[in-house]
Amino acid sequence: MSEAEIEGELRGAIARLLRDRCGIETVAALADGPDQWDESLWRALTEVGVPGLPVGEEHGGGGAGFALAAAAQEELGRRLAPVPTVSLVAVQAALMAAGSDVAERWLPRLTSGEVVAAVATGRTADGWSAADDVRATRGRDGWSLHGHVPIVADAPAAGLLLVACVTDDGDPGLFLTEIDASAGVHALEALDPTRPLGGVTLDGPAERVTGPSGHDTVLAAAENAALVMLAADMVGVGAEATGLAVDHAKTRHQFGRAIGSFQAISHRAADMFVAVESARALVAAAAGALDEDPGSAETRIAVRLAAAQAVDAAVAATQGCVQIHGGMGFTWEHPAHRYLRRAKGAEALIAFPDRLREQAVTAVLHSRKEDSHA
Amino acid sequence: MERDVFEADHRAFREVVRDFVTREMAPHMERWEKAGIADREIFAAAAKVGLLGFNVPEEFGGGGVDDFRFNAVVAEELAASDVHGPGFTLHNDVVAPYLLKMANDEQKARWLPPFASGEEIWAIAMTEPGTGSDLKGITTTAVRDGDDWIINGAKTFISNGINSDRVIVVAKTDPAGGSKAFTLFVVERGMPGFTRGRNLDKMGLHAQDTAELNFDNVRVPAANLLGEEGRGFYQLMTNLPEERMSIAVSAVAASRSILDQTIEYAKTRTAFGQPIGSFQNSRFLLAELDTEVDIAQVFVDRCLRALSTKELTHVEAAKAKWWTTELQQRVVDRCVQLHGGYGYMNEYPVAKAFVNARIQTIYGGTTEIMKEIVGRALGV
Ligand SMILES: Cc1cc2nc3c(=O)[nH]c(=O)nc-3n(C[C@H](O)[C@H](O)[C@H](O)COP(=O)(O)OP(=O)(O)OC[C@H]3O[C@@H](n4cnc5c(N)ncnc54)[C@H](O)[C@@H]3O)c2cc1C
Repeated sequence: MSEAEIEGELRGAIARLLRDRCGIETVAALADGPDQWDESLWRALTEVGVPGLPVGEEHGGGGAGFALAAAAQEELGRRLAPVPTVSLVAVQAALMAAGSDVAERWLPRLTSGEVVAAVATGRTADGWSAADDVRATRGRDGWSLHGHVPIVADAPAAGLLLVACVTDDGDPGLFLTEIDASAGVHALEALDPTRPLGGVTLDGPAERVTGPSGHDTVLAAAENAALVMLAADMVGVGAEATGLAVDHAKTRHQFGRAIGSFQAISHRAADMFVAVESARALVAAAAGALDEDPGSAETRIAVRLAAAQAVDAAVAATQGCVQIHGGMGFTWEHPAHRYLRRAKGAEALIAFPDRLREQAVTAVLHSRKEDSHA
Repeated sequence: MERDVFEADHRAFREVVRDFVTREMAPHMERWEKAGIADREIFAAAAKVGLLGFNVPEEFGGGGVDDFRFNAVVAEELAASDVHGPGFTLHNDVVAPYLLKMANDEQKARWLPPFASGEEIWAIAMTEPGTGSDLKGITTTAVRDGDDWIINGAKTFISNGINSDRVIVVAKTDPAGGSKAFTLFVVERGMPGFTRGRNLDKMGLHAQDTAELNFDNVRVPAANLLGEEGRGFYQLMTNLPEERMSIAVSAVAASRSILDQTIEYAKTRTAFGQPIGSFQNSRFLLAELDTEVDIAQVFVDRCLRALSTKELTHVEAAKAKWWTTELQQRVVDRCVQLHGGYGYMNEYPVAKAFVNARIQTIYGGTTEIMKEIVGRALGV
């Protein structure tokens, strides 16, 4: 099979599974109910190997790389699937980059879907950093973490947390610590209920994934993976919102004709479509770059440009979807707001497009400078 | 920028309104949002201190001031606090002009006193499942039967739809259609065949009741025909400037309020040892928004003055409506962004402002329809 055929099969299989298990009514019921995420959907996805897609076969994964993991995530985004793949893949990427004993031990459990993992870091204009209010302490029995991280995506679904923080000695470090949604995680009410958020209080044992020497590389691997997965999710969200809007524009009549025949509507839909298609191409390129050359400056740039475009496209497409639906787009029963929430949530949580572009530009300028020195 | 459209009376009125909104309304918002509707008693309480009915003549128990700037003060104070609960602006800015301009003396005597005192709540029902932008597509019918009219049809998205005691209903009275086919009727709570459908759950504006209304052979006496038979469409058109200015005024006030809160946040929240607002990107963003909101305010104030002297055209009102509500979208969008992760938490006002704002470019005539109006007036 060609790569395109493999991708097509994978997308088809996930789309079929989601059609049965993750219809918009299911998502709506979950989002409006007390559950924080769709555990039974997660188990179904686990059975078909979704959690292990990017991980190598030596760790029990599918060895499909980020390219296919991103394709799968687009399908999940399309259906607003309330499952923690973005966070999980970020942690997997970190562990693959670290290659330490601790990493080797945990990877198979994350690959099989047995354990869900999420990421707790601080955030600066340059991207992820050590969490502000967490300290790692080395005691006689090993490491422990103490402190609080106010907002952690997917924490209510997670059993394991990858924490970036500073040690008592002032060194940066990355740690794994087990958490329990029923204790220490305080579920937060967020704009987008399909991606649960939690405030996490840490006060217990941890294992060090990497010390100061590997820290930057490993954290960058996690962040790049998270950005690509989130961007793929946004392509799905934007594509579906565009599809809904176009369907409505074809069938809703005002002034004796389909509203899609008015240029205000058809041009807006066309803009939405073009934005999402460009994002899809950029995301595919970025995911491919992650597979081929994860540590390079080019990859860093490609990932950021893809994420910026994808988030912008998703916000524009979901806003347009509301507008094209008129008053109906403002009702709770119509799914338009759920897509808008997911897009806006992604933007607020991980990927401010202007910051991502600034990071990309900085990387471009930096690599130019190095070229001219060489 | 100093606003010069208000005078001492308006400023004194603003104090009263602000006091009422903060003390009597804001504390109930959470409960109203959960219930999907505000307490109907709040209408009478608000009328008592003059927030409602001020534009009704004194002989009918109102305040007797016909100056839209007072309407604007109420709209602004509600918007600034994001107290979207009961449809006060609908009463003052939309329903009142219909009753004042079109009701005959007998109807005024019957309807205005309880309207002015807030004892009776009103709504206006134009939109139907099949038609929103295109009002000529209305299919609700009214057929004459002796001295009465028989109304059949369904309306949707009606603000105050659950709380309302009387509803102005736009119905088709001439099956042949055309712009002379529509007439306004006042349908009352309890009339046989008049029922309410669902109180629609919405993306935002949770404290406002927005409902479906059904009319199944509702017998309405001719005495409840508002205005003239066959003139309904024109009557709708003449009242649109008020409704659109009401939305425009709210859009600017809401934008100003959330922007000010965000500026405050940007000053106090620090990253890398400095306030986030001091990074140039954020500072420029705030500078842009502050500039645009000021510009919007000046234009709206100019329109407001024209409306208070009855000189505002419906084209000018359409310009104000679309531009300010689109600006509001940009403002709330950027303000969420500037709040970072916290902007995404429902407990922060900015998250609510974001979803509540979203309807502004849709109801009262969509942005696209506003541009149609402006564009046509250009002769293109
Ligand atoms: C919270 C809320 C409160 C409301 N309150 C009331 C109320 O109290 N009373 C009342 O009567 N109604 C009320 N409405 C209804 C509101 O006024 C309508 O939703 C609005 O007019 C749009 O109509 P529609 O929803 O049918 O959209 P449509 O008319 O179906 O429009 C769908 C899309 O097509 C576009 N479109 C339509 N025609 C054209 C064209 N010619 N050129 C370009 N684009 C076009 C529109 O701009 C929109 O983007 C309310 C709605 C909401 C959500």
